[in-house]
Amino acid sequence: MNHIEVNHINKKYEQFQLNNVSFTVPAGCIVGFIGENGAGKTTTIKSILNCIMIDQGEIKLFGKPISNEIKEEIGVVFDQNFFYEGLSAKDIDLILKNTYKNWDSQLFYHYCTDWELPVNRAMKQLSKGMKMKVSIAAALAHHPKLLILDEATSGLDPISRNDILDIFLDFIQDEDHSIFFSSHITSDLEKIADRIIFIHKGKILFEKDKDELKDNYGVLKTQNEEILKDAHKLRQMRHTFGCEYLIDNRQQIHQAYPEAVCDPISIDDLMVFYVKGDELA
Amino acid sequence: MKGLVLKDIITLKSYGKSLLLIFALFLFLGLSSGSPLSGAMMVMPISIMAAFVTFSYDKLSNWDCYACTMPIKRNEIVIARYFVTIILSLLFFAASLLSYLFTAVIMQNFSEVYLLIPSYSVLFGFIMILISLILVLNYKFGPDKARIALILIFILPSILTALITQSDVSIALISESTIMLFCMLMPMLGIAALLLSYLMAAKIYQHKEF
Repeated sequence: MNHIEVNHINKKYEQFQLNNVSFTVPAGCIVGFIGENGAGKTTTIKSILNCIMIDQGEIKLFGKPISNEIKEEIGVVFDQNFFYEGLSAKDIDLILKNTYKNWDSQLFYHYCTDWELPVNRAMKQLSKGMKMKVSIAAALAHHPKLLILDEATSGLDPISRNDILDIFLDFIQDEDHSIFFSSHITSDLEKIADRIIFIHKGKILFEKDKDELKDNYGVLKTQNEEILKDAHKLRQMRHTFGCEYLIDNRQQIHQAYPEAVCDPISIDDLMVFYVKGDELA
Repeated sequence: MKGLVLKDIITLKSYGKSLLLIFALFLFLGLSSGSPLSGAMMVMPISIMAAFVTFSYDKLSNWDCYACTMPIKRNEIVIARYFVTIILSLLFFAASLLSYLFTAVIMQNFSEVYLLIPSYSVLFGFIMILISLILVLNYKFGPDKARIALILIFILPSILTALITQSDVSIALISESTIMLFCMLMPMLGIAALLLSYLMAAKIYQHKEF
């Protein structure tokens, strides 16, 4: 079952538009949503959550259009804290206890204790990492099945980021859970994502399993015509010293030409190839 | 919706000390003017300040975007804000009445008792109309522009008042029964304005993007 189904959505602004965006987030998966700043990640997420109205297309969550019942099943964390800075974790518990049917105060305080969050202290007195953890505790304490995270780890130090990624990995242990995680910190997604969706200038450029990217995609650095003929080249990047190719049959090339320099590709490099490189296939 | 009401109350709690201070200041000004009624009535506009505070805090924390992700309908978000603002106004209304009684007893000045019902009737209607305007302007333009819009709206009646004062029309020409009718109609006008304002605000909020 797909927890999120986005079908051909369009949203036009004066200087930007989401252009025929389609993808799915299956149950039991962590799907990473990548793209440079201004690529359309937040607009897509806000469309999914009904914070903005789409011009065309269809969005389904758990197979249905968004409703209050569906929203009970979703936990949302954005890159900023949405609670007024004067509120404490205790206040947030009181507010959300009276908002979500399934709110579990015990679970909320359990997270706060586990993550050493002072529950009586105002948000303005907490560090950015602590505020983010309060937001995550708030997103998890009503037992959601789907977590939607928009740059939830940006601006955090590596230790806090690591802690937060562990929380997400713990959440996904239940196969009925899923996470849709937008970030431009690709190393985080390399650690936890099962699937990667890349958006650029409001268009989805690719949607692939991370293992497929890891196993088959690579950067080929050669001028050998024979190797180049057998390589399934997708993109090329020209440098002053030659050309690099993005290919999707790295294993095959590696077996046929063990001497060929063909490195596995990082998500960062993949983004650069798609944004800066020339299309070949 | 209960959660949203609680959120506004908790948020305003931190602003409570400032509100009480302003309340005391207005009360002091009223007392020193020698008129317990005008002093007590000066307290009422504080509820308007409180309405602006909730919108400003929401804007600061981008709350509306988060609220849209919660299992609450958009019109419930608007209802909750109207509810909090009205309750707060009624509380200040009660506080104003109590402070009148308190100051009148202390000053042993009951000369204005006969004005109590018509004055508070007009004040109630006036505050409700003002709240209606403030809320709908905030939903339409946001707290910063709403403040400017409200100032502009207030300049207009001030100019009209100045023109009437300069003209030959005297308030004395208006019969007492007309004034009494106006006093009695004001609360109803206030409630009607509030209903109209809610309908407009709900429509605006329904189509708003965050």
